[in-house]
Amino acid sequence: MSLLEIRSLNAGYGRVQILWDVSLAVEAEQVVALVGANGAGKTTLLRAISGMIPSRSGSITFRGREIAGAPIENIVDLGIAHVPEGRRLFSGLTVRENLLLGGWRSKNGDISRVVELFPILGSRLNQIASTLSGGEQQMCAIARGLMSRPDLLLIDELSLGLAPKTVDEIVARLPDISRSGTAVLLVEQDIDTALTVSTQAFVLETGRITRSGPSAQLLADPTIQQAYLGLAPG
Amino acid sequence: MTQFAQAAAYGVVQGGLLALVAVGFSLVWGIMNVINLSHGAFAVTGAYVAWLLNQHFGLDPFLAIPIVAVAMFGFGYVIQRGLINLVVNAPIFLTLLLTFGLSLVILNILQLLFTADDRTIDTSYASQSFVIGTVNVPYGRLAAFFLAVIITFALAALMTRTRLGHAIGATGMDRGAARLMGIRARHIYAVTFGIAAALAGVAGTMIATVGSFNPTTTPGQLTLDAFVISVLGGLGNMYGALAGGLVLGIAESIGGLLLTGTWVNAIAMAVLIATLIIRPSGLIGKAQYGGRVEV
Repeated sequence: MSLLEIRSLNAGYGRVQILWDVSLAVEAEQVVALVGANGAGKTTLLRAISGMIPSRSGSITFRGREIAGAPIENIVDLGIAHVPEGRRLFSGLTVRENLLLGGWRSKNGDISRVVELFPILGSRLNQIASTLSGGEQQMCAIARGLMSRPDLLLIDELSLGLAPKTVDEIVARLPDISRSGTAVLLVEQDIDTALTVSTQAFVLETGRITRSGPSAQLLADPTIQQAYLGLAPG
Repeated sequence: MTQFAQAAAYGVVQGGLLALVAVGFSLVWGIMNVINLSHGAFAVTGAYVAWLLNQHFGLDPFLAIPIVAVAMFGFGYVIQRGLINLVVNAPIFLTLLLTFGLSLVILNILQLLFTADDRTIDTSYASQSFVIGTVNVPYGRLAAFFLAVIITFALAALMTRTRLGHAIGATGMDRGAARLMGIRARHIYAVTFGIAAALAGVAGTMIATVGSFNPTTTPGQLTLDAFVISVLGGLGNMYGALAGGLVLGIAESIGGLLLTGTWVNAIAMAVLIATLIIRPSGLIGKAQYGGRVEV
């Protein structure tokens, strides 16, 4: 049984349907990439998983339990943490306060583990979150998500607005996160980065999963290279 | 000169009391973007609870405060959970309409139960006062002033130093992100509203002790004062409410000396307009709540 299993999911906003018959699985302790162009529905899919938007039909099971339609807070309790697009840190609070709020449900007040993962945060603990650099904010957002000790971490657009070097630095921590027991579902426009760090990948195109398989295989696939990586066929 | 000093002293103690009315109003506005037009009605409801306890059990109003606070917290929690949460994300006009209607309902029930007569809680110390130089300070008002200051600082400490306070602040900044942390926004909103109602009830009790109250004119006046003070001080800022309360108390008191009684509201509004022109974010306002994000 997969950690997260989505079957024939249909979802959207109001009368506009975005996701069509999406099926996807994430195994425990793996990094899985969800890639696709702008507007393909990647963010919508993460929102449907974490309960931020309702699903119309289909099922989402987590550790064998149906979670489609459950309130956001209950889904957090079950062990899914969502690092939302744009990070959405609590801008007026300090880094430490942000991290502690991440451990709100689990009453986890131990920030040493996440500081070990991103040591730079250790020297920024008393700084107001909005004064961090973009990379530090993303680290803080991921660390905040990990504070609930989830089994699955959803990360939306990790690379958004960050320098390539910073992206590499953060992405390099993802395998550590998955090895320590938290599977990662990474949504990324930067397909090269996403397919390099993940083991499995799904390609979303206009709301439908069009390709899936081992990341290495997709990375070597000429059609993927042509469509997303700007490489000439041949 | 004596008259002026006396008015200033009265303004300070009155301002502390007004700050206590306003601090909860400001909290609710800052965190939930709800302008609670029933805030004055809550204060008067609290005043009636203390008055009843005094009438039937002879309980001193200062000792009645914990009971009033707990009762009003429960009342506020239920009102938010069952009623205001339904429209909390709707345009602000809807919450204005709802809380205005709620105020009418509460005040008509109070009038039905207790008539529209002016009431006051009599205490042995209400008429006593001490003299500093030429200035006369009543004990009751001074105690109410210190209580208001202590409660304001306690609330500020709750907001900045405790887990619950951070969760309330976080929910105010970004409700969706707070929910992703597993913070139950509906519960947090209800707790916030309960705190505001409790503080309103305590303020009402103090008002009933140092002056008089009735269900027809008092609530509207208190809501208006709370509105002016919240904007004066900066939304959602506890110290701002205290500063705003003092400014308004002194301005009204000294203005009352120079002009006739009905001009007092005009003075309040003049102070408000002057502040908005000079410091649009309020006396101690921060831009923090400007960054509010809705899901």
